Amino acid sequence: MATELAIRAAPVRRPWETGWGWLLLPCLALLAGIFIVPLLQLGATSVTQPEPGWGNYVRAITTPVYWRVFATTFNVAAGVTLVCLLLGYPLAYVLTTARGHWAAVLWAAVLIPFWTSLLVRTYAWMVILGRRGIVNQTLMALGLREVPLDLLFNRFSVTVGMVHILLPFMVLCLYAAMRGIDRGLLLAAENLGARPIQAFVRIFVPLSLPGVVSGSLIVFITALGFYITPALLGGRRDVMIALLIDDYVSQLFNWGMGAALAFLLLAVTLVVFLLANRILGFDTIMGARRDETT
Amino acid sequence: MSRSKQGKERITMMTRRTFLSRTGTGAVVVGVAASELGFPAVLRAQKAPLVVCGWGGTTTAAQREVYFRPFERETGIKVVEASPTNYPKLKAMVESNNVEWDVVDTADRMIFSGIRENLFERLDLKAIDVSKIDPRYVIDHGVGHKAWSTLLSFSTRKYASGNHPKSWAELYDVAKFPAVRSLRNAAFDNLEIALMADGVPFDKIYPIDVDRAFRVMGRIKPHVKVWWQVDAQPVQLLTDGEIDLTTLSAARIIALRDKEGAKADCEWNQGIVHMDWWTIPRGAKNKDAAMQFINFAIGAKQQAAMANQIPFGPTNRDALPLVKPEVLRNLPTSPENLKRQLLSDRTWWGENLTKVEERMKGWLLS
Amino acid sequence: MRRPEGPPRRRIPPSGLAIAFGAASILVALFLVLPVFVVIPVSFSGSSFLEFPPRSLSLRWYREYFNSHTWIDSTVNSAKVGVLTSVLATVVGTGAALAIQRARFRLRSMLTGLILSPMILPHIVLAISIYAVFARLKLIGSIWGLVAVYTVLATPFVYLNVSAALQSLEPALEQAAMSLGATRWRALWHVTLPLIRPGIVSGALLAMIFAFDEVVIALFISGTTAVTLPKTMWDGIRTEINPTIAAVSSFLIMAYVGLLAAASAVRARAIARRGGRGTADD
Repeated sequence: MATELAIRAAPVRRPWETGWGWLLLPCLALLAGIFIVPLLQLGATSVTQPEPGWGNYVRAITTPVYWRVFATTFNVAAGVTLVCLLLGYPLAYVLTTARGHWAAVLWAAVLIPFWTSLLVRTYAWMVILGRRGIVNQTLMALGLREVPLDLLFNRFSVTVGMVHILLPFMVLCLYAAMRGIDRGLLLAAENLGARPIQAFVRIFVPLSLPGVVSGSLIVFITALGFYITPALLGGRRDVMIALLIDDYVSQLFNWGMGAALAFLLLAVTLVVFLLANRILGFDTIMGARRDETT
Repeated sequence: MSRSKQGKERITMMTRRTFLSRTGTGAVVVGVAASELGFPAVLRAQKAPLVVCGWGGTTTAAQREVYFRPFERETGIKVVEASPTNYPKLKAMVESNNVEWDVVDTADRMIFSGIRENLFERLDLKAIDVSKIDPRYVIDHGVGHKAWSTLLSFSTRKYASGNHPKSWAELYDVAKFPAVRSLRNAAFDNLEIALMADGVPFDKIYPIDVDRAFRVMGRIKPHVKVWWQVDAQPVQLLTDGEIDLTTLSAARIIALRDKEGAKADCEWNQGIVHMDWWTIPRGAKNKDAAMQFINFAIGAKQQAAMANQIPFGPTNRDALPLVKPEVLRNLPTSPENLKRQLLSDRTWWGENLTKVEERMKGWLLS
Repeated sequence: MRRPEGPPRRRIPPSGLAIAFGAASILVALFLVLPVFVVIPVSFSGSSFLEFPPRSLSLRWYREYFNSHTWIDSTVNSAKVGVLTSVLATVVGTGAALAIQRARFRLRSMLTGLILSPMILPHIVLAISIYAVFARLKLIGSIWGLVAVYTVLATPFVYLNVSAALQSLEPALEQAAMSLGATRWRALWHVTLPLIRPGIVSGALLAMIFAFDEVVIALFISGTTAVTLPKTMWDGIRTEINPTIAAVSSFLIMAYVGLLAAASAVRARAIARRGGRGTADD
């Protein structure tokens, strides 16, 4: 009895689980050379320019306006991620079931935006959302509005612009995960009496979670680093941290402060990531193979 | 890799048509400089290329026609174009001793920081003849070569019959001129505009009373819809009719108004004159050719040709007579326009830019 | 790879959910395509500034694009950089995903965080920090310099997608292959990788798009010899937005749609020849 328990308690090291670690090497090598080394240099810059010491960090942490910018950044990124998820989920789902021409058309819709450059897209949004733009002209022509709607240079236009850029990312991630879900499971559930919605919510959605996580992470983290779109489409308060960093480097010629803010962004994001991981359990969703006896 | 090298050569196409040199001063000066630097004619074809960094777009296109190609024809030195002028990149280049650019078209906002951080070479005044250049725009490390003005600009969709605001005070008058306004997303120019709107005369603007300027700006803050980030923005928004009033560099709007009938115009009253400078980064690989080029480019004929293409103000006093009369009206430095404008004080900005801009960032966010 | 055909499915009437999703996806698709209806007309505009609707029509911006060595060379450079980055990032990212999922790393989440970090750091600070290193290594103005940086930045896309795909993978399949005598690597190559193909392809595509679109780092390290398309597009931004960018985007879109249509036609003919209705794999 004791030996049985002992055997079951000992982690079984299956042969195919050893040696995989080496596959991480190329990634770590690249990271070390191209990311870690510059990062260390950046760290050095943040504590030596313009004067040696922790001045930059102190200033960053004690200026309330910068807290506001950080908050805006995370808010906008979270909002954009949520909208991308809500809009992207149905589209990704339909893409997994669509056939023939419908599929081709939908795929075109997802991938075409990639070919439009950022500048051109921004201009297009100005044309669409502006006071004399397409939306307003249509509304006024239909008699629904007398005065144009204020759709541009505010949080709304920033969100629209960013969602438009990041939605295909989300769709691709969701699709990749949904593709691997066996539709037979849903069919089986329906045959056993479940309504389509029940089958969907209780079988499909949980199985699609890895895609939700990967898509959300990609969209959220990429959105954190956006600044061109918010700068061109947003109002004066829609400033994201990357713009502040760029301003410090390019306009205020203060690399030290830019570096310090960049490090703070990195630190805060990693903390948020680790916390979210702890609470939501990315590990279990994303692929930690726990020791389970089969 | 060879493809990109081919590309590099193709970018600087050298037309070897024989070309009757129109330039009097330019050719003589270049010839003298060349012989002084001891370049025998037989070695011309093997000279290292000169990399000139400019602002890109239509400005570089004009410079190509007016400076680069003529310079190539006269000296045999190939000109490679780079753009855009980017201060952090310049600094990174100089500090890592890997200077890619030989000549840089630098903005007045950058030149003082650049000098302070020792990013530029001293100009060799034996190689560069600055005798005809306005002495205000000749310093150890650079020569001013094109003036541009920040002007009150307006949409002619809204103000078609001359009823536009004609001063900064009127720009600030939201009651008399209800409109969609856009200002630069920085303190640069805005401080002077605020003071002028508050009635400060030109000779009392500098040194700028920053607190007063910010106080005055507070009046207009809630009424500004777009704080523009990049110069192309207000130009585009104005021509689209998305905004009614803004401040921007005159040259582009004038070109669009005159050549393409864009519905925008500008007001010369109380404009602010700025200068762009030719500079040579410290550690540039092709310093001699760089000096040669600058000497060529500040020639009267070249500057006049440039002004005829894009209405930037020349600094060579012999250039103005060579400018077409209809272009003269649009130049920041024509006598007519100059007397109505404020000259931006680069010394003050050189000392105060970072402090003031940082304050502006906070101000805009609150 | 075609999914094994099961018993013929009976025709189920679409549920309310399916209809709702179908309608939603059409609306979302329209939203995604909306700007294209502005970009294409603008590209045919005769003015030298962006104008919608265009007052006059002209092909000048297309001419400008095709006649300019700068524009064409930058497009080619971007394509090269995109493809190379995609390939490298896929290899590196897939390896990392496999390693982290299967090997027993104690600091798994920290490692994941590390791999994702390049995505978080703003490009401007990375560009500046890298510049000195690359200058010494003579990697400025080099395609490979760009590819190296972009690979590090694009690996997270592949990593996350492959991780997600691996999670959904049925481990029994790989174990079965190995119990039948396959070595670990054969099982990986012939069983696992094909099964996670959607994840790999997704990641590879995202990596390529990323490299094709990136501006800030390109501004710094592309020099004059490895100029990419985004950099050329941002040219002259001090004075204007160059309308050629509308022509470039429109051209890329039309070329892409043309390719898709051609591929679709080829596939349709192949299916017709096989005599079937096709599955979702086609």
